[in-house]
Amino acid sequence: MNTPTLASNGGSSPPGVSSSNETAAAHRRELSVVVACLLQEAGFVTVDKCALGTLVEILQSTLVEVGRTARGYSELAYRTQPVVADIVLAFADMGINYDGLQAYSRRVGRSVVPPSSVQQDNKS
Amino acid sequence: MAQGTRGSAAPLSDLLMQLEDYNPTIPDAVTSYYLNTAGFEASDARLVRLISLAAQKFISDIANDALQHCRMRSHQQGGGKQGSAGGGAAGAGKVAGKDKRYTLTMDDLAPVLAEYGVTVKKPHYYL
Repeated sequence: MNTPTLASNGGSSPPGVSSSNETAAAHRRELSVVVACLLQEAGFVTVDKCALGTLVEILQSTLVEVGRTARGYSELAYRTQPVVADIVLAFADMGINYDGLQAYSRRVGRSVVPPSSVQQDNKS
Repeated sequence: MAQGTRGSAAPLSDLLMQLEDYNPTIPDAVTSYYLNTAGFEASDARLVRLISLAAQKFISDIANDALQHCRMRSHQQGGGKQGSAGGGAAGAGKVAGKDKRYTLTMDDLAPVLAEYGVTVKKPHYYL
């Protein structure tokens, strides 16, 4: 399976690179499904490709940035495992208001993207 | 800000208890992947779910504001059409007044994102 991807890369990149690209693309697709779900919940029926791509990029950047900031705070406190306080500080740094999160988590009509393992179970 | 933090400290612990058996729209595996990209590895799944929920709410807030923007724009275009024969403008809106099938476009998204501090500029060479 690695042979055609290696050939497409000109054989110069190691085998791990192509698989990581595929992994990133798979996660990116999952994020676009999530954004589509949220847009449908909001009341949109269709979305421009450009707008969807922008929202996916924002979602991905938010996740990575929260993780980076929270890791920074946990390492500042000589910890390797982050705690809730680190995440709260990261939210405060990024200007994310977490006051309405509890009400948001209980909202009606929320949709859940099924994990890929469930889909595999259904096939077998 | 200190008052807000103190006031929301108790609900946050309640929320964490709830997150034990909660499935956010973003799958845990996907959030964990992006957090691991940043070097963040949590053994507690509730922390991952908290981050998923916050990111998801951010996108939902943007989507709701964009929908309001879209509705306002379609109403304005509807009013303008009555005043002048603007058939072309109504077609550009992609929103039929009766159907209410809203399409999210960059025209609606860009001003909303500007409110949230995200500047979107499409390069002129990008097709």
